[in-house]
Amino acid sequence: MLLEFRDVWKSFGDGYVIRGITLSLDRGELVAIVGPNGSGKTTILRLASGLVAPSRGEVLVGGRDARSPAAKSLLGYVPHYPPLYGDLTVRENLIYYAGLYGYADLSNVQSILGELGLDAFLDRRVAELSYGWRKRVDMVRALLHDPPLLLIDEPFSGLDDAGRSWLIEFLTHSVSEGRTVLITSPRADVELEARVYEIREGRLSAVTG
Amino acid sequence: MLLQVRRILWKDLKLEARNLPELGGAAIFSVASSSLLGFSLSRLPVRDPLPLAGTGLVLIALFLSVFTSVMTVVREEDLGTLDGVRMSPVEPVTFFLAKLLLTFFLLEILITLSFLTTVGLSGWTEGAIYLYSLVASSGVYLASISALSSAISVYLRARGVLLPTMILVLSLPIIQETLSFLTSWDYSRAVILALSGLLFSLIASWLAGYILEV
Repeated sequence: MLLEFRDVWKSFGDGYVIRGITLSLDRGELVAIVGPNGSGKTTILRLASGLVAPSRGEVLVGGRDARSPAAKSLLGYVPHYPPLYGDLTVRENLIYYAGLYGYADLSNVQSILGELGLDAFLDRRVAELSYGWRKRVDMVRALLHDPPLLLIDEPFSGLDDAGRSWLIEFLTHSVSEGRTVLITSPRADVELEARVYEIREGRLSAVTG
Repeated sequence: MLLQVRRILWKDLKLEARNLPELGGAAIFSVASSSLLGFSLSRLPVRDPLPLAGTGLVLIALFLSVFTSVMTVVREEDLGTLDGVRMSPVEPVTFFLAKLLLTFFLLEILITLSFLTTVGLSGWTEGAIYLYSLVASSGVYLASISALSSAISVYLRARGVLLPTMILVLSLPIIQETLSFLTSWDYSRAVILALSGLLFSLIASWLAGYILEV
């Protein structure tokens, strides 16, 4: 299993946001977690990316604790707010993050930059870009190290039709090539062929698959 | 690890260069406060200006370390970029070391600026180099306190009050030590200050490894 939640509970003070979630994702699977705002979707992705620790239970990536550097090198996470430096250019942001994963250049994502139309924006400061373009840059950031596991929080928010079409095609192709993808969506219709789970009051229930 | 420290530090230096109002504000504070000190030294009938100049410069350095704390880990949190580092395989200690080096670099520049302004305006030279060696050496300790407090305050709500308080309390031993060395005229004291700063840097890095993890 590439990603495993084993009876995971998470609280941020009063009461639990996540209640006893058990979930496994194998290679080449696309799983969507749907639910209303505040239901705990983002917390699941933050647990999977090692950004927060579970209060109880275990989150494993590639068999290792999700907070370990070895686990983090296996995943790319696209949060709702792109963690990009507004005062740096797109190129500088991407080269910086590539460096954190041990890559000196952008050769891994050269074709994606072209497909997303980001070639023309490489020397623009991120602060000058709209949310939709930042989201595209952040997608590239998450793919810099070609991770086998991709986590995307509300992948279609802020994207125009072209971006949406590219993302659907990219995710479908990625999954067919063995990449595992976990996404969240506030809507039940996730626009992708996925195993869908609904989260309500911190508990998961299977909808399809 | 060193390569990653260099990458984070280089990115931070670029950001500093493009965010001049922040660094400029700290530099203006540095020049303005040391101008007051220099002015006092030139006008007051003080027989030995070293204790007054030393106390003034140490206090200015303390204020500057509060500024630098806002320019490191706290800023990453405010920009929303701290998560970008925390989701990468970079060890928290590596990230902290880069921030500590940035803090040290900024602090030493600002301390030097304060020193030159004080000396330039007061015209006082005797003992000035000795004083600089003490204050610059205490910068190692202050930098590690500043970076550590910055890391801790990521989790604090009343950051505006607690951050300066934390820095003041943690730096009391080094301030006391620096002030007590002012009249000793012994350059080896500067080495002691630098070494104690390095020792505290090691402890701070170890602590930050836990603080910045989760």
